[in-house]
Amino acid sequence: MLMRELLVSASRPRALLLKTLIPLVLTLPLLLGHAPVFWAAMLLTVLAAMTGAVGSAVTIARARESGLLTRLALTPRPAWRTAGSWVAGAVAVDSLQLAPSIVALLVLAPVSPMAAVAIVLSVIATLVVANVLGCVVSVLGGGPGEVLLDVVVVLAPLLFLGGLFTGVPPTGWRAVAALVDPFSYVHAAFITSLGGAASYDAVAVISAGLITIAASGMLLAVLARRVLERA
Amino acid sequence: MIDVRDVRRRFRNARGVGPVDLRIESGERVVLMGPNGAGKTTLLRLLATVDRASQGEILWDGNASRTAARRFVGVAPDRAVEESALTGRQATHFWCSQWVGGQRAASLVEEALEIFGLLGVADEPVATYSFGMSRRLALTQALAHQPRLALLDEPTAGLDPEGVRALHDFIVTRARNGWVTVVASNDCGFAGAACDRVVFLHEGHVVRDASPATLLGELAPVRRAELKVFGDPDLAALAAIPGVGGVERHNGSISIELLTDTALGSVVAVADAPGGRMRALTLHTPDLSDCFRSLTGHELIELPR
Repeated sequence: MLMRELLVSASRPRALLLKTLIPLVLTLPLLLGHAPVFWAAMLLTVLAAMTGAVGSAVTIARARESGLLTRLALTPRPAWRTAGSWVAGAVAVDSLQLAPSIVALLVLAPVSPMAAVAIVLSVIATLVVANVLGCVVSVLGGGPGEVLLDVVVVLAPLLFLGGLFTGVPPTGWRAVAALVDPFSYVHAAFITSLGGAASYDAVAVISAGLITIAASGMLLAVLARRVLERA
Repeated sequence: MIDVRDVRRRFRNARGVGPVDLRIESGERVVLMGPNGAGKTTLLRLLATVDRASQGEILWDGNASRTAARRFVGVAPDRAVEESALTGRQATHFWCSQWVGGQRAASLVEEALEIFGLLGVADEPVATYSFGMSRRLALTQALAHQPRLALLDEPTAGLDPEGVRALHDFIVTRARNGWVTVVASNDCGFAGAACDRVVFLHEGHVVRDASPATLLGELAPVRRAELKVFGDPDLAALAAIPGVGGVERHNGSISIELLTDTALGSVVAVADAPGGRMRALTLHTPDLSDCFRSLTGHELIELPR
C-alpha cells in the first residue's frame, strides 16, 4: 500500500510539483515578510493539518466510490495493516510536499538542533494525526465533496482548542484541552522557530509528537475495519 | 466448499436475496442467472464476504469466519477498480501481493497477464487501456493469486471473443485443480459452455439448480425463426406450412416456431413471395434464456419499458 501510494504520486509529477509549490508560496512570504510570529505559526500549522486531513479524507472517499476500499477489505491482510500502510504512504507523500517549506523555515529562521528535531517530528506527528482524522472522518460522509466539509467541521474546533486562533488561557478547561490537543504542540514548535515565546519547550513538543503518533496508530487500528468496510 | 444455509439479505426496496440454500462442491463451475434485481449480485457479494447475511449462515470450507474465507477468495466486481496511474503489471502485482509474497507473486502476475492477453501492454499505464482491456485487467487482478474460490460478476461484459475464450479456458482449467468458480451472468452462450451448473434466481429465490444439459434437455427442441420483412407477407400461408408450430407478428418482425428443420425452406419461400419481401432471417436455437422463460414466464434479460 505504501509503495502503491508512492507510485501513484510519482506517476503524476506535475500534480506533486504543484502540491509542493503551494505550501512554499504560502510559507516564503511569511518568512521573508517577517509576518507576526503567532499568525505565521498559525498558518503553517493549519497548512500541515489541512494537507494531511483533506488529502487522506478525499483520497479515501474517492477510493470508496471506485470500489478500491471494498476490494481492500476482501484481502486477507488485517485491516489495521492495510489502513496503516495507506496512512504511512499518505504521510510520506505529504511530508514530501511540505519538505521544501520546512527546509525554507529552518534555513531562513535557524534554530538549535533540538528545536529543529522538534519541528520536524511535530510536523510528521501532525500529518499522521491529520491523516488518521481524515480516514475516520471519511466514514461519516458520502462523496469527496461532502467529506471535505466534514474535515473542516472536525478540524476547525481542534485547531481552535489548540490555541491557534486566540492563544491558550493559562488556566481553565481550554488550558487542559490544549494540553491534549496535538495541534497546540506543532504550533508551539513553529512559534519557537520564528523567534516567539511558546507554551512548550522542545522536549515537550518531541514527547507530544511521539505520543500523538502512537495514539493515532491505536485509533486507526481500532477503526480500520470500519474505514475499509463502510459501503 | 461453500454451504449457504437459509441465507437472507433483503433491502428496503424488498430487493435482495433469500431465503436461499445452496451447496457448492470443489471443482464446480456455477453460474447465477436471473433478470436485473433477481439477487445475483447480492448473493455473489455475500459469498465474497462483502456483505453479511441478515439471516442464516454461509460456511466456507466448513467455517463461518469471513476473515478466514478471504484467504482463498478472489473477486472480480462488475466494474474495474480505478488504477489509472499504475501500469497493468503494477496494478496486478499490487493485488496479487495481498495474498502471495515475493518471487511467487511476480511469476503469478506474469502468468495471469499472459492468460488474459495483457502481457504486451503490461507496462503501459492503465489510463491508456481500452474498455475491453480494463475488463481483462479486472479479471487478471482478481484471479492472479489463484484463489480456490473465484467470484466473477458479469465477467464477459466488454470482453471481445478472444477474451471470452481465454476466460472460458481459465475457468475449465481451474475446475481441473478442484477450484470453484461462481459467475453472475446472463450471457447464455458463455454460461452454457463454461459452467457445469446453472442456478436460476428470480425475485431473490432459487427457482432451478441443474446442469445446462439437463435444463436444455427439458425444453422441446423447437427452433424459432425471426423474420424481418418489407410489406405484408401472408401470415396464414406461413402458419399453414407443415412443420410450423405458430406464427406471431411483433413490431416489424415475425416470429415463427419451427417444429422441423425442413419447414425453413418453405418459410423463406412464402416470406419472400410478392406482398412481402424478406430483409433478414435469424434462427434462434433454444438456450438458457428459454429455460428461464419456461420456468418463470419472465425474460432473463428484461428490456426497459
